[in-house]
Amino acid sequence: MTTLATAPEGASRLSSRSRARGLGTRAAAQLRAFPSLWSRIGLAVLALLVIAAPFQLTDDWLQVLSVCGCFAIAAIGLNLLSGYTGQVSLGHAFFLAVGGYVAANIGDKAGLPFVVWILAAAAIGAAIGALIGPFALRLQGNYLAIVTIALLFLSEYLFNKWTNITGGGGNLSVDVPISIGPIDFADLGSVGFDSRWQGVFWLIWILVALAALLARNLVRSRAGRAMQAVRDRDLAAEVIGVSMFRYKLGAFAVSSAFAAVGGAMYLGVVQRNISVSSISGIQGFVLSITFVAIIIAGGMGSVWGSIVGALIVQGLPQALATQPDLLPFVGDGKAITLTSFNNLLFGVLIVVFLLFEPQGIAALWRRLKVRVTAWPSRP
Amino acid sequence: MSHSNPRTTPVRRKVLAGGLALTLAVSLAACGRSSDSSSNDTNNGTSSGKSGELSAAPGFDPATKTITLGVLTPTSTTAKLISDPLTAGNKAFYDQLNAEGGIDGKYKVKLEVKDNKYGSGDNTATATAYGQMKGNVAAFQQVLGTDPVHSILSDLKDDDIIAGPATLDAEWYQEPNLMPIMSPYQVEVANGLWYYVNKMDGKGKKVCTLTSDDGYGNAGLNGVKFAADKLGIDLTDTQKFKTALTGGSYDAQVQSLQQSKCDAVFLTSLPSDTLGIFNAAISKKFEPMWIGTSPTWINLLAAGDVGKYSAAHYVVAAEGPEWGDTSIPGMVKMLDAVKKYAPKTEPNFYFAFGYLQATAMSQILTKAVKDGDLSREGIMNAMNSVGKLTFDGAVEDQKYGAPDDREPGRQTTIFKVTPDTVTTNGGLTLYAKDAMNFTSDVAKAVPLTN
Amino acid sequence: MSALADMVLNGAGAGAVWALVGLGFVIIYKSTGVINFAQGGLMLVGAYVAYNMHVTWGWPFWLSVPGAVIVGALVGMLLEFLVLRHMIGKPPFSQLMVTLGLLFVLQEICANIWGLDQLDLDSPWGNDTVSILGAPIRVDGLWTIALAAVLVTAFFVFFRYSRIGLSMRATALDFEAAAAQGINPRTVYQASWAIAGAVAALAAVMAAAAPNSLTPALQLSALIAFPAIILGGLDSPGGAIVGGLVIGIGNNIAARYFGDWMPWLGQSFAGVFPYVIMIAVLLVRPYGLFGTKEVRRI
Repeated sequence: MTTLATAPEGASRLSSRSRARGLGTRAAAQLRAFPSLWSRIGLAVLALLVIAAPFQLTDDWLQVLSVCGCFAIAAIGLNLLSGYTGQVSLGHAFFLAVGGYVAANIGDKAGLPFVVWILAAAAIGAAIGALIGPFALRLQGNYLAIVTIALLFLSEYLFNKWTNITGGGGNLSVDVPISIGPIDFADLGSVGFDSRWQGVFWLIWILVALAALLARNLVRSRAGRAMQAVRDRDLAAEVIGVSMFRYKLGAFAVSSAFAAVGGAMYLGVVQRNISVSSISGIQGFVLSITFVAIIIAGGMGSVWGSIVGALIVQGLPQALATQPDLLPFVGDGKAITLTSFNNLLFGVLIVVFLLFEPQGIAALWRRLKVRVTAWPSRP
Repeated sequence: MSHSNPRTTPVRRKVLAGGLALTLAVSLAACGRSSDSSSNDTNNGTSSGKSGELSAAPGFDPATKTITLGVLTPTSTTAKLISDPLTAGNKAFYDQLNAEGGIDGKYKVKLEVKDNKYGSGDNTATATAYGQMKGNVAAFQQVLGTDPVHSILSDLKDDDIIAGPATLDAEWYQEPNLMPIMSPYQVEVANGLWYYVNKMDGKGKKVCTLTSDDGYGNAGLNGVKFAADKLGIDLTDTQKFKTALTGGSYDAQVQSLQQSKCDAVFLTSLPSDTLGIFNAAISKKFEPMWIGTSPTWINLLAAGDVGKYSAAHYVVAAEGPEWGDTSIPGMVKMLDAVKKYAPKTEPNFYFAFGYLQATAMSQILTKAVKDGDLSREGIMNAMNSVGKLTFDGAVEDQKYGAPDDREPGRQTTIFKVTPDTVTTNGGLTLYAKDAMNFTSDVAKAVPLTN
Repeated sequence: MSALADMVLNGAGAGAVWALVGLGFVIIYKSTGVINFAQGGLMLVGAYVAYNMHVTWGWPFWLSVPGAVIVGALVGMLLEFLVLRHMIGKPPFSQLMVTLGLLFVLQEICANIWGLDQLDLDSPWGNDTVSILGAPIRVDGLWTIALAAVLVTAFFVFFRYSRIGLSMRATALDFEAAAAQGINPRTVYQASWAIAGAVAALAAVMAAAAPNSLTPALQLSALIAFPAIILGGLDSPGGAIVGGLVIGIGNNIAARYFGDWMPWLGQSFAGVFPYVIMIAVLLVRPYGLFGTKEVRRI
């Protein structure tokens, strides 16, 4: 019942290259983080783009990409939970809120440095995520999904009630330090930055890289394989000695830690304000669906997919907003408003991906790669 | 990257890749982005300009003599009910002003509107729209919604931009980058209570409250509590409700108020809740005097059976004159703008607010032009040194400046609902001659914290 | 006494709306194993079509409601034909997410046709009440309770005795075995989506029956109905009714009395009370009060 879209992680990555070398077995190919020279060069180019972006892009784009980065971190967490371990969550926004409030209390109120509050967000996020774990042991698939929705409504009540943590009144502005040692990302005048967004962009995408690296390593470890066993056949996994208790609980903890870090950065550094009504309740539900849409579009069971998904789901609408000429029928007073069009696109995107490419862009990419590396023979 | 099989991962390759990245990054970085955050090339703020001419600044183009102001407001959610007339009020004011020459008779004002999706689940919309607009606007004429205003407060401070919040939260008066006007909710209810007791035969009657369980509701509740304490009244019943998105049930709260035999109930709610609450009250034949804050009102409350109930049992504590009151110069001027530039506009409370909000911003811009500086700092300085905002009698003039020098509005008007006059005054008629723009000692003393 | 009767009976009236919404969920879940988040979108379509027929075109109310029910059924079938049919055999979570995607699509279509204003369905009941045990009870609520009772009986008969109803149960139990027995699963899916669309339209009309309460936010009542459905068990029509009534009445009782009994909880606790009941029940009975426990195989 709980089986999610199972991603054939690495199944099609067995490229002709590794076969030719005679070294790569299926498992070996899977175990490597960056299997080929090309993927390393690809990474280097990505790193270069991130380094160069703040020198090239205007603030509005840096801001959008910063939000994408925060969402990517949280989406990696959701992917570990849903894509790799097969546990459904429609309440991911709750853990972002947890991260936000940790940032507000430890980074802002207590005034502790960046490294402390961001790690605290991860730790507290993990602890609270672990509390939800037992429900996952008791409940199956759809029932679990609904309980995670309940989390959003219960937390709305708690956030309004627990005023010494949340400030009460519905909104809490946050001002957290973002310097690591002598480097203050809010003010990188030393490299010629004149806007806060330039440094914020760097910081967030460094964290995205760290999160991706961590997640890649996790899924390639023993624990990662156990998680996937829980996803594919949870009872069978238990029979062969994989502790469901440990791995379901662990998956919730790890996923929540990522979400809390993403949330701490999003609410504490990008928004610099936490609004109870927009992070919980109905609006929290819509936000949570956004994360599910991200991993569907990007690819269930793919770390890179989570990042690509975040760029598409969160970034594409903004790209459209800045290029009104691309869509002549969209706009105020035209056939459909931009917002309406974006919502429609969001819905259609989910439906189309699930109908035609349930493994998301990650699978499209894998197929393309096999085509290219196997050329001229047909795979 | 250190865990891969050493046989297949020569260190050399990593160095190569890393080196390549760094070289490219440095060479790309050398190109540099435009000197400011905006795609607009008029915003360098460096050209010194000819004598008598103002320098270019973000949102100000000396060549076309145009000042651009931003509007961040929902155009795609149910909150359109409020935002559409409000933005229309902003626009009508500037159309009228531009026809007379513009700010200081010279500079035309243009509004750029972006959807902030307030009321939908999109939390990033306001900040994103703000990011896209900030390079092209001199200030924000309107930001609608308490949450959206909060979500850009830090950015406004970073960028030295001022914005007009389109809510009456008292806390805005403490914010150096916001330009709130008129009386906050606490003042509305404090004056409302004073008026009920002294002018509506409310001495010795049972007073209760029904407020939404959020910051807005608490502002109303705190205002009533303070005023009741000062006026020596014990609140008989204080009920709260959670804003129901689906016209949910208000049975429990209304029944409690009914059993407490409340004579007057101070209501702090949004229109969708007001409609549901009145439905519940009508079905229970509960007929107190509802005294609502200004956002409890919507024209729908004057229609049909609900309209009959509203007419008999509901008054609105707002500010300003009745729509169409030609004895007020400010109203005459606004009606002229409606006739010329927004002829389809029906009388609407929110339109008037939008018009007054633009009136206030135009005075700050005029000061900035007179000071010879339309840069963001210049506009900020103009707001802090404007001294006074005037509204031609529509609402009271306000002492204005930086947060410490501002005096929030302390006046209130009590309107009754008259379904027969929806087309002439929007269905809101002065409760009595003395109900317009009055104030009271208790409203002057009410603390303005949320 | 009359105060308590007021809370219980009017609460039941509100709860009956959730019960109706829940029936729509149950029919889809029972036959296809999918949680249908698009139910809220189907509700919007139903309510707006009823509005269009009754208010815009001036049809009588008693004709507009069946009209909306028929359109609702057709839209349900269309969704099945265009999308859900192609999702058969995909993991349940993918199916759930597809319905969420459809919710967004339906919502935007309605917003573009009927706008975002608060509309008045102009139901014949308005704010009318009758006196029961000395309490004023809303007539629209009583109608909703009656409709829910009729529908759940009809469901019972349908699943028990009709060929298609039996086919639905068989298909839900074991897709392949049912197909081998000559049951056409396509017919079953088509039928269950048609019924869900029809029930959604009915639920929506009742949910928007009070004056001025037809808004796009109506679709959220499908979301708010979840505690009721889960409480009863996802595959039990009777459970949906019981769940709806328990939550509706519990909501009113909590809002009315909890503030007095437990002031530290605050009155807003009533808003989360349904979820608390739901979680408590699930911890004891993971498949709801009346749901069927799944048999799981390795």
